Amino acid sequence: MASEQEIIKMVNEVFVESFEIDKAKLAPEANIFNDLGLDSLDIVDLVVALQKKFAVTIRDDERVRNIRTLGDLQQFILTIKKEIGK
Amino acid sequence: MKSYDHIVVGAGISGLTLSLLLAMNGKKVLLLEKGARIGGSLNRFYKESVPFDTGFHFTGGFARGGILTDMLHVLGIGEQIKPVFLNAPGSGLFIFEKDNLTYDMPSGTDRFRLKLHEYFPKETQGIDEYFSRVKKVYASTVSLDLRKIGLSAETLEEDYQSLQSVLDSLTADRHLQGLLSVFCVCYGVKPKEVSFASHARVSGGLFESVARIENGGEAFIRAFSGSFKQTGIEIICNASIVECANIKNDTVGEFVLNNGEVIKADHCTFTIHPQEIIKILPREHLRKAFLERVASFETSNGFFAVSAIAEGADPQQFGPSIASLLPDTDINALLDPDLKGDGALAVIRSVETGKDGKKYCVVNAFEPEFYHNLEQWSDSSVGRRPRDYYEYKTKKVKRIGERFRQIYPQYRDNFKVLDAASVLTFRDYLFSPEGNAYGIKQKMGQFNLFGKLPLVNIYVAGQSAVLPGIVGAMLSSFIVARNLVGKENFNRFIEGELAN
Repeated sequence: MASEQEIIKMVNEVFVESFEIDKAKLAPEANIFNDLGLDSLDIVDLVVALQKKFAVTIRDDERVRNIRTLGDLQQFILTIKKEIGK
Repeated sequence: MKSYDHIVVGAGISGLTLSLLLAMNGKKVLLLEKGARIGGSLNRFYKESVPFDTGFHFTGGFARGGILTDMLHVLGIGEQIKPVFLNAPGSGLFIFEKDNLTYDMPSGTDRFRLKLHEYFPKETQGIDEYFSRVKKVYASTVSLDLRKIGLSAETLEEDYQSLQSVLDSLTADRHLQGLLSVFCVCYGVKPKEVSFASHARVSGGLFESVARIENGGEAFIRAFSGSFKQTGIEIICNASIVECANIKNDTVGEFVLNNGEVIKADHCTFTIHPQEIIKILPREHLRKAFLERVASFETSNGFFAVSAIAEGADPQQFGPSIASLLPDTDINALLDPDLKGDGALAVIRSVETGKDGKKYCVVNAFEPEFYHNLEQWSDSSVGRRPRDYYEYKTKKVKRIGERFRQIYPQYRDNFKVLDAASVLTFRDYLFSPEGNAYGIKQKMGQFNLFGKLPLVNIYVAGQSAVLPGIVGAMLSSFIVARNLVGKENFNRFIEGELAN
């Protein structure tokens, strides 16, 4: 299984590759909407891109709705990767 | 410059439905159709004065209180669309050809279930569990109730289980597995690839009732056309949008048509194939992630169709009926694009009135066909195909005739083929990519294009949006119309029309 650092790197790659966002903006505290410029219509595409990158199924649940920052998202992916790893 | 509240792109059942809903709610609507006439695959065609269906043969949803009945009632055209139910013995046959096994299945979910008990006495528990899960999904899907249509679609556990995994957990009997997944052929996704929830939403309606329509899809076109005149909807055929122009704040101001005309509209809804929509939208307003999502959609299969009559057959003894001929019990194999040999074959018998006023015993037979098998001829157009394409067609027609005669030996000598069509024919007449029948494949875990796009006044509806088939295509238009008209106004409209 990929290490924590690798997973964080892969999450960031999605923003660079699929959303053409400048790597320099990708701080953990960056707000996905206000700082990275995604809007509600982009979220589906983000979920699809993450599903593909990590070969996981992301359900529309409470945990997803509470994600605000890039750090939240990285932690969320780490959690579901761990759940699968068990 | 002409100006409208809404442009609707594509005059198939979804575009027709959306246009009428918007006009009934006081909007000024322009409907654009790339083909020469409205209706898409609802149109019929005539050979030697006999009418044949193009792409619409039967549907569920007409049972009492059914979703289709409700939608047509709201649209004010319910009385003009007359279902002909297929409920006589022999009207729903499922035949495993290799094992020479025939299952004569009745209509109505409970009758269907109990008939399976008779055929599979050791499997009653698995059968009951399957139908209770289908019913549960159907009942928990709010969009299948027009009064609750706008409520946010809650995902169910069954949205994350494949149909195949559920079948495997319920029975090891391959014939039963085949019968419980055979409706996959009605939307073109393998049991391994479709969620149990999607499958239940489509087949729930088909178990309950299967109906053909008097005068086929043309009845819909006539009904809509009449209402369009009354509500002042403008239609342009042979027309498409080639460019979105005057874009400010992610809002499209003007739409350029293929004839050069520029039209102003507040909103525009595309009901066409997602990959065709992407070609029209301006690249600089789309995220790469969005383009990747759309590019990942697979187009569904099309059909090879044979149009025939049984000359001199007795109309009293001629259906309506559907026989599903299955060369394999594994529906996954039958929907595999690399399938070799015979495919699943639907044979529909019905009595139709010809242009000459005579009654004809009509056979519409069709088998899934995969575009890549015909790719070598994909550059050709109608009437100008190479010789080996015609040889391919002749061979297919012959084989389908053989299979027809096997199950209906009584018409052995009077089965007469009047026409045949491949996916290339469908592609060229209907402007459907790869001649597909069901838009994109709606696979488990996939997010379809639906509702608002990254350009804020551009919407998507159609059969690739919510559920495949006529019911899903119309539903998507009801949901989009609700967003465009305003939720409270639309709810009042629905309540008012249903009370009528």
